Amino acid sequence: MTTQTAIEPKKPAQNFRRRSWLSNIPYYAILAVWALITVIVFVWVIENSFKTNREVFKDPWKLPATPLTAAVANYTKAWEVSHMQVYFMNSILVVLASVLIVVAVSAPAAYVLSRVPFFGNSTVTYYFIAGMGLPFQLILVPLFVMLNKMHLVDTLPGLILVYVGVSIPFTVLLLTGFFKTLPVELEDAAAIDGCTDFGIFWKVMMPLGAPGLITAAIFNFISIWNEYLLAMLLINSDKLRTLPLGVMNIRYSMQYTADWSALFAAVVIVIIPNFLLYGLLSDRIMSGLTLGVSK
Amino acid sequence: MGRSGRQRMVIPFILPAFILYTVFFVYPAVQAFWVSLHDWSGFGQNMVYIGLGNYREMLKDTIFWAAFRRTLYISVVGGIGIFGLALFFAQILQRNLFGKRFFRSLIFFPMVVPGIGLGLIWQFIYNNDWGLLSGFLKLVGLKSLNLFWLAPDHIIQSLTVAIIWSYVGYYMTILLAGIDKIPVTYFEAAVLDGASEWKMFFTITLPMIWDVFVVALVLWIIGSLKIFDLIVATTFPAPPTSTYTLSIFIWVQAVGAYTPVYRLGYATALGVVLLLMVVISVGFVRLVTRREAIEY
Amino acid sequence: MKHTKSVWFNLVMAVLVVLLFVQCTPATPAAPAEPTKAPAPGEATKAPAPAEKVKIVYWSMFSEGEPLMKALDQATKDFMVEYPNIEVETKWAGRQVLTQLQSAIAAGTQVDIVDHSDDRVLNAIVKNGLALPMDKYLGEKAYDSDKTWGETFAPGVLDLGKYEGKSYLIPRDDYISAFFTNKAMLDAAGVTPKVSGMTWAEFNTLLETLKSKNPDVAVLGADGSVGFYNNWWFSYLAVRLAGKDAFRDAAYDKTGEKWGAPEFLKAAQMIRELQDKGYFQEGFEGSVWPAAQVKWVNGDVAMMFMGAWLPKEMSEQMPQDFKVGMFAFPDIDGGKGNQIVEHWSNAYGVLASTKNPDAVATYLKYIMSKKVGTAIANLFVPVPLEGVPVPPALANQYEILKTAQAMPARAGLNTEIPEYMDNVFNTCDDQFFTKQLSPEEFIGCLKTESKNYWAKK
Repeated sequence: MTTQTAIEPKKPAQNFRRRSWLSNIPYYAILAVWALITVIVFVWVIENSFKTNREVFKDPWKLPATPLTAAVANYTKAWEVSHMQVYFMNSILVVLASVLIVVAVSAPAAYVLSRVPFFGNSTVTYYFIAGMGLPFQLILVPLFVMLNKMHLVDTLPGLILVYVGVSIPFTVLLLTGFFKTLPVELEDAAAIDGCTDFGIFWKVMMPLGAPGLITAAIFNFISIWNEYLLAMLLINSDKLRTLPLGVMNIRYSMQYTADWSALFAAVVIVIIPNFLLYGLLSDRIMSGLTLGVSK
Repeated sequence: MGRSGRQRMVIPFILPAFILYTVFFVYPAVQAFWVSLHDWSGFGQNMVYIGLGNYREMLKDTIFWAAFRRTLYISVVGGIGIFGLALFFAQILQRNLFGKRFFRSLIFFPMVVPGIGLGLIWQFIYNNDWGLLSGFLKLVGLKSLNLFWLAPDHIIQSLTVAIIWSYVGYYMTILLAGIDKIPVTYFEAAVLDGASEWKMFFTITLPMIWDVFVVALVLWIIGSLKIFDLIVATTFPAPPTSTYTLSIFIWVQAVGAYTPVYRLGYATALGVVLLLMVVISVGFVRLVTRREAIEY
Repeated sequence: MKHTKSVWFNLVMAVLVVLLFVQCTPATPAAPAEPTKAPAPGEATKAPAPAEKVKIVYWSMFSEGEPLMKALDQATKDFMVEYPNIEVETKWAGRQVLTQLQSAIAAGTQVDIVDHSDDRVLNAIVKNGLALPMDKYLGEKAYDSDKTWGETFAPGVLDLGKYEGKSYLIPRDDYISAFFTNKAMLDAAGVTPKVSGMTWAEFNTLLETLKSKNPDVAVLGADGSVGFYNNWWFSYLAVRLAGKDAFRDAAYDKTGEKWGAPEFLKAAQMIRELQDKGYFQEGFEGSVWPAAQVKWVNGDVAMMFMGAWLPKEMSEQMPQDFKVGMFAFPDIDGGKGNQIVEHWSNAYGVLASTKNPDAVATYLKYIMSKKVGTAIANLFVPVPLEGVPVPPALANQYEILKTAQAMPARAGLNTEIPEYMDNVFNTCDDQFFTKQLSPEEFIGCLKTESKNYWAKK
């Protein structure tokens, strides 16, 4: 019963996109340069984590002299101080929960705002969207006071609720834009078939809207994963810290003692899980983003 | 149309989002507006009502205006850099290049590293003694081009470059998505008519992704005015006054993060101004770029 | 009918929004606790342990993993063994502790003790009336001495924690600012600087000698990226030449004109002279902290002007045989502010809202005792208690304090008008120190920005 919606962006007649190999070269060159820069940066970071501080300082271009001993020293120190397992797990937990909840509450709201005419529709829409511009520094103190009354300070659920609250504007904006483009005819057809309104929402529009939901989920994942300010405000206990907080904490401990090689090791430790996650999911991420935006 | 039953859906569908949003975002924000009308250190109860006093002070505050200018600089220059590159990359990556997905992922990768981490990396790159950039220039004999990347006279430019590198992937992906959905028939027809590739870019691609482009632009404006993590991390341990953008200035004034200045009332007023900047810029952009949606 | 329903819905929403606007005051913090009966001063026994279990909360400026954190953590655990009725909960919040405290106070969260640099704690809680005066406890017997607690502190140190005559802050580690040298390098060059009271001429000779003996080494080190390190040069010279009071008056002057006094221009010119003679390391303008310090321990920089935390900060990077020398900022002939040295501390502050002031005092007396003080001092941290050994690198610190008059950081301006220092002083000084402004332009900057600053108040 579901209409056939093109999931892949249509791959056109190949002969249009395929150009002579030669004319592609300059573009390959530019891309290669950019890629090279990115790769060099990360390789450089990794290489420095295998050095001692003196080497980092004195001979930036020489290869590490005692890579294994230095690496062991740096990574053990970084791992001990960084509690990376804890921070990583916390981040995953917080982000997954926040993303799920935000999409779950924003989708119905966006659906109704985009497709059901009612008095005050645009007011409510603007109400939701207006929050996008608000800098978080503004709400730090009042937010803390309120969460404290609810006994949610220094708890992961408290952080999750806050993340949900501040992510709603963007998600609603994205999803209303997305849902507006979905065809009305399907709904009418389903209604004629005897589907209830809720049924239409759940069985027809949601599957159609899946690309948009995925996109929203991914965008939110990225911004919450990297979020620092609100987490710093609300979380004091070390065992509840998220990844960005952990990185800052490591910096405070290590940069004060000029332990740069260990800092490099710490950065690598932070990037690796991100990298693995990203490596596994990048295709999904790319296509998810593409779909959501393109439809 | 017998769809009047849908009205029943409105409240229950909107309510959860409405409640969460209002409680955890709007309510504190409104309280913040209230705070901006007071002179308050943020500690204790001695809030003194001064009406628009904070805003009047702001008008005369040279540091505020400098921060304002820097914020605009990053937004405009950064925006041009990011969108120029993003459009360029998106256009190139249209083609059937070998390793296309690899390049897309690579360009996007900085977005999955927290800004705090990226700032650390950039601070190391810009380090004049052993950093990557200075080291590279010395290696290839271009020592004369080696500047003090993080000195007050260059730091904003250096930060802008770091920002562009970090965020270009995000916007490129959005634009790429928009380009992908343009039906090939348009291009095929243009090729038959003998149009060059870049002519097609300007006459077909750009107009057809206009909606997406505007969305991306609005996202950038909002995001760029609020950039915080990356700057703080790149200027660790404390951002010098030469790097104050509005969001850093707000932070410094509010919570005594680096110097014992505690002025939550004033900082909140600054935040309100930042919000106004966002609203006005977004409104302006949408006005200027308004066109008929292209249906196809 | 559907239409009416929507109307109601929107009316309800409108009312809600209006209510939000009306209901806007932040929560009140917890009321201050009733003071418990204190033991009479001069009692021979230890401070009495409370009868039932109490819990006190300490939010610390240290992050986990820092050396001082480990020492304090161990000391806290030992304390809890000795005083089983007092539970101390510590949060190692890091340098942003006062930011988090701001919200915590507004919300009424229990925090009894906090620590940070004295100017920060002063501005955060003491000036806002949120701190507990500790004079009573300072008059009681110390933990491991027959004297009163207050008497165990080195002379003059408790003044650092006083505000309006009362002692609010308990200094834990105290610092002066001075030149820190690579002693071996100076010895090899045959240079023995006077610990205190060197003349400017002698100073210049010292620099020249070092430079000629060690052409590959930069004589002076500085990290241009740190505003509050850069401004040491100008503030010390200005105080030396014009005197402490004139320096302060110029900052407080609403017209900004007092910066036009010839002494200030001279101070700027003297700094520019040092820079032009090439004494600073190459690229100091763009040097990012802690690069210059690292160069110092690696033997690429001979000396740095820095706070006395420097040996501790660099202790892990220092080669085994690295010896640290120290001498005070030189005096200027005819100067009105010679023999003055900055003195500040990291201090404990007690929140007035604490419900267990006695337990708090017992804890702090334990930490600020000879026993724990010695453990801390072993980490190169100077603890101003009698009987606590001075870290070898800082041997001269207390000598300097004996002969010179102490003043708070930047003549007290850091504590009193931190916003001015940030927005006017450091803004102009950063540009001057990194050679973007000439001495005359720098003075001009100070004048204009001072005027603008005070005008907007």
